[in-house]
Amino acid sequence: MDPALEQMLEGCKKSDRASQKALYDGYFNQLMGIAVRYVNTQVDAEEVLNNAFLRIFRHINKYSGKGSFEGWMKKIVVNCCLTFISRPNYKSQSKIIALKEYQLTGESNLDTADAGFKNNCIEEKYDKEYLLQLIRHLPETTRLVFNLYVFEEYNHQEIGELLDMAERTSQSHLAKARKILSTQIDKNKLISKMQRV
Amino acid sequence: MNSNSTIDDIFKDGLSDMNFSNREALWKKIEDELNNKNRKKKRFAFILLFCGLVAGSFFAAKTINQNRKILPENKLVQQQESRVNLKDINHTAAGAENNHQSLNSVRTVVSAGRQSFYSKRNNVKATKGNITISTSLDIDENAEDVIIAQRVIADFNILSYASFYNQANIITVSQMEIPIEKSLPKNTAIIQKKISLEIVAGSDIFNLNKKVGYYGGIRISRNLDKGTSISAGINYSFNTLNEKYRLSNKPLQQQETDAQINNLKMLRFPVFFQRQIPKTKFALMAGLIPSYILDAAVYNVPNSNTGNPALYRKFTLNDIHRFNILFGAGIKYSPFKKIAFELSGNYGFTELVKNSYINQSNVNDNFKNIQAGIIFLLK
Repeated sequence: MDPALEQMLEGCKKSDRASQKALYDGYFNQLMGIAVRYVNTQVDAEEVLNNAFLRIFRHINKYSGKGSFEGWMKKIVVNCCLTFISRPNYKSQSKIIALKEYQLTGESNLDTADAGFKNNCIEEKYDKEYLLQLIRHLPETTRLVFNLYVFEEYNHQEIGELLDMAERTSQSHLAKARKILSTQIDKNKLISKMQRV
Repeated sequence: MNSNSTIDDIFKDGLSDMNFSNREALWKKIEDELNNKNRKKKRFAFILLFCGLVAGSFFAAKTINQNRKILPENKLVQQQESRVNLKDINHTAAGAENNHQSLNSVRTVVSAGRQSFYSKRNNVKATKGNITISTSLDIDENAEDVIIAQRVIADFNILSYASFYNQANIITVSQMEIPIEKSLPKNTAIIQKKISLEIVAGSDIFNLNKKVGYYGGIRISRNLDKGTSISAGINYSFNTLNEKYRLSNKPLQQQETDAQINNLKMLRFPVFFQRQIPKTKFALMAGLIPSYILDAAVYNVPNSNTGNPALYRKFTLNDIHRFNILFGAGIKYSPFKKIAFELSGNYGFTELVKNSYINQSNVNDNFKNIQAGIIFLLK
């Protein structure tokens, strides 16, 4: 393990606030990036990340040192997301808020002032906010499967166990997600071409 | 877009290295909660300390009362002690009536008790309620030490012990119960039993923190000593709160707005010490009120961060299902035997903090209220 990280972990285990802050600063963007993919709004993602970091700080002594610390934290964030989504009042409230947010304000919570933001877009120049919105508008279970398979690199068996579904169902959701997303992207490409013409 | 791996890569690469601007605001919130965890530890220690105090008080009261039962000063004499009850003494009194000369020589010493007995010869007078206990005891002329002790328990039943020591002939009168109720002075407050069960109900009379509500419950009181009692119970309280607080969806866009919490429902577990003011019908109360917040869930926030002034937004507090500790004090007036009135105030040590959308929205900053209630003595 990296000595700096090791030192930071030791500090966190002693509840040293400076070490906790350093850990937080170091992994904030990465873990927030996970949370925003699972929940509908930025605010929900903040709440999830808040819970996740609290859980990380409180249970950091349980990290045995085997395996990647980053992976351990990511797993906590994913679990927090799944717990958050499974709350009974989440669907009705959060979905409505998400739609309102896009329709009424169209606000992006990503840091658009970041100089590298536009340059980070991949071959077709899709920006992060656009891709995020596409994922967020997937049906919930489909989105979960897509996230777990593509980003967290779970296999279908693991996803099935985690979400309590058959492997075939997981595969079906993944195929559905890919289809929806590729259709949306193709549509976007077509619009872009027409605009250029 | 034919290949599955291509679509996966688009998202995987596209959503890597995202930057978010609200890092510091979120850290502040996490830091607050980490600090709050320490505060909870302190609160727990405080509750433990309080429980210890209560248990200690019980133990001390019990020990003190037990100590008062120990009368003998001379252990040799104590070994020869024999006990008879009041009936037995009265029964034997007739045969001893002509032994007045010897009775005159009896010396009495009051060993304990606030409401002292003074014995003149063999007549024991209770100063409280002017009760006179006449004993005619067959006591030997050589009687040297007589100790009369008495103990008064706070519910005004007198449990008295009179011990007459004589090296040759020892008679102990023990557990002589004297009901004093009828002979209380007019101004004396309602008579309480050892353990009493009460129903209590009332409402807020002062809307501190813009809160009004009602409460009701039961409680059990137990006397610790004369005039002092401890009570514990359970109350259900219902409040509505209107409050202004800051709200926004981004840290730099805070605004003050109206909020309303409907149905702030709590279970309260008041533990009070109560001290009767002598010769009055008033008693002072003070104690702690651990409370459990059942529901504080709904905010109606006009003009908040929906961007549309016409829209109201509802969201939930995550601070429900948590404990809070309030300090309470008050005064109790007992004009009747079965009915009493109380005026009390509560002050909370903790805050109810909404943890969604913004860190800074401390809603219902301290639970403060002044309440008036009526108490029915059931048993």
